[in-house]
Amino acid sequence: MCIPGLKRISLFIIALTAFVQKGEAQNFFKLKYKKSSVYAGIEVGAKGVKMSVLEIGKNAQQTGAYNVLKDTSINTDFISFTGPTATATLNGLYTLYNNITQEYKVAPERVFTLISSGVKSQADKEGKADWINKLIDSFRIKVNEPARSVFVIDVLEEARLSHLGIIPADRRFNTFLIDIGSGNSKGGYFPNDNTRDFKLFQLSWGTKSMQNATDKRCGEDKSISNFQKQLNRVLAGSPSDEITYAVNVSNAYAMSDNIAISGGIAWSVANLLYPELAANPVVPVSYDEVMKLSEKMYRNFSALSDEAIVKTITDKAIDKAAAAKEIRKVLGVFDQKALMAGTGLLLKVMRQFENQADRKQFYLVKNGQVGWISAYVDQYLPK
Amino acid sequence: MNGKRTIGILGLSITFISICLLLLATWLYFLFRNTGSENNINQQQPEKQQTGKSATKLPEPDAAAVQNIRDSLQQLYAITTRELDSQIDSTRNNLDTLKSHLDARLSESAGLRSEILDILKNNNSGNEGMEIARLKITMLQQKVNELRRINSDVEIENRRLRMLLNQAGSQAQDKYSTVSFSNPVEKTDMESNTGNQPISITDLRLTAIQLDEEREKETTQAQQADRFVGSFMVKSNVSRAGNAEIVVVVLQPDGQVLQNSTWESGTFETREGKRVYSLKVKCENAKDASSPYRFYLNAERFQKGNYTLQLYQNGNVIGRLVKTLS
Repeated sequence: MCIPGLKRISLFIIALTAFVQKGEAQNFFKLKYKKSSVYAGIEVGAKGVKMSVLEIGKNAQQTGAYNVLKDTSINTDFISFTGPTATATLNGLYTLYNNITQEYKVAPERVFTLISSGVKSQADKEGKADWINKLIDSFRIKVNEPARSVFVIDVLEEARLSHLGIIPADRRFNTFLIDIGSGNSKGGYFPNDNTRDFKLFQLSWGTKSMQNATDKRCGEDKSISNFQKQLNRVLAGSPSDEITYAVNVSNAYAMSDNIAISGGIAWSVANLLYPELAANPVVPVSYDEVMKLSEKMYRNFSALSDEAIVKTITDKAIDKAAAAKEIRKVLGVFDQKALMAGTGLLLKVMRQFENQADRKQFYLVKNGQVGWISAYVDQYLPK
Repeated sequence: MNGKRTIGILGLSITFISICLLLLATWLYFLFRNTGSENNINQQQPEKQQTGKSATKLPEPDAAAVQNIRDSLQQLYAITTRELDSQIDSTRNNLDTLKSHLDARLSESAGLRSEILDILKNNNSGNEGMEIARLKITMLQQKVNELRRINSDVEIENRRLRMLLNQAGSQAQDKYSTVSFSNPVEKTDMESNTGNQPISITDLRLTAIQLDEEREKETTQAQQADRFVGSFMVKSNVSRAGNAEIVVVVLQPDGQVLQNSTWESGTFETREGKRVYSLKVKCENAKDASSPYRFYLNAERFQKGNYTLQLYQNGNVIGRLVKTLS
């Protein structure tokens, strides 16, 4: 008689604790959706450790409804594979994990940890796969969770998860997603109406590599006009051939109605073009609009200051302060040359899909880097 | 490219000639009907003459003149038909020429592709072979690019020609409409209702829905509402409405635009400047639309107060409605 009573009380306490824990995490952030859950992802990347906290709506997979609550990173340079950088990475991982579970009260089972494809491919290339295993083991010991899953994902799985997380279900099988990174670009699409088969698309060019190649050609003349001239030459060379070839081989043109582009440059261009949609994680754009913006970046860069852009907002319902803040963020991350180089690459990719007869709709995705967390919840967590 | 452009122009010519033939046929029809009527009258006249004693004999119709007109029209018809036939023949010839050009390009590309494959498959190909393969791949890419550029140019030209044709067609239709509907009252009413828009909206509705175990129930309570369902009928004010895109804006009580999914939302130009829209509705063949167009707007939270639904076309408001949720 007494034992069942105790059992009931214990169960009640456990349930109450779980409820309070969940409640605390939910209450800590200002949530956007009525029915949602908070999840966090910590990713060990090539440059550092990145943590993102997401509010995922009930119908996230159908509508792509997720809301970035927090996004932070610690630079550690793990791919140097040296003692100090490995220690820094472990400490970064531990700090962010503690931060999210202790300070923000996100339950450990809602925190996912993974090693990015960039780290994996570099480790494979250099025969340093054991460095990854050591990092994972040390992290498990440090957080005292021997059974904690730390996934090491390859580029295909990373691209697949990003697609699943970013693109809503109703556009899943007709959307080509490409993430323009700093050193390279990757993406793809689902060619066979199932989410297992993923057609991977890769380019060895990104925003930073484009800028570096242009800078190298500029020589002593560091003027903007020379940068523009040299950028056009770089774009007309190897990137042009590679993009044309990669798009043709992927068959993405024939298979897609929508072209979604994520990455830093997509985020920048989206905010500069559409300050009215600062709160929207995705904005539709046309090739001509990006082309005009590119011209402005070169010829009239001052017109892209936060004051100048906010002046063009005529809709009174728009939060101009929020729009100005986003523009300042963009200009803080990318300078004029970086924007020109990234937009040049973006246009080159878009050009491959621009055709008067069979028009594709372009979308710029702002928070593509956290899309995998949403997909992870759907793919790997028990329903 | 010139061949494709010629085809576009020939297409335009054929359409123009078809319109001419249609008009000609209409004219012939009316002419023969009138002639038939005159014959009927003439057949009735003798009866009258027989019954009416004082009736005078009407002059006989000039049969020779009618025959002349008929002959000349037949001649004109024969010439036009011959011209049309020759146009069709030349179009066919051009098509054949284009097809042979395309076949030549495709066979060149296929040849290049097989050469590349041969080199790549051949294990004995050294660095030199690889270099040749690389050069051939570049050539193949250039050919693909060239074809794509040509295709794009032709499409642009075709679009321009189609626009010209549509413009010419609608101008002709507008002239015809002005002649037919010359009642000034109707015209004024139409203008005031539509603001000179090619289409107008009727039966505009916005309903808040509560989803109760997959069943939809209408509600006026903000707390119970899960989605808005909107509907409207489209009425065309011109003879050739074609496809239309209606921009839907639903303003929430706090002045923010209600968005279904950010994938469906965006901005559009109005007279007052750029505005954010909730979604777009494509109305295909608006002229023949007999059933209402529907749209859905889901929201995580509905606020209490007035929701303003505005429908825009070409940046102008064509429909407006206010819905209150308590």
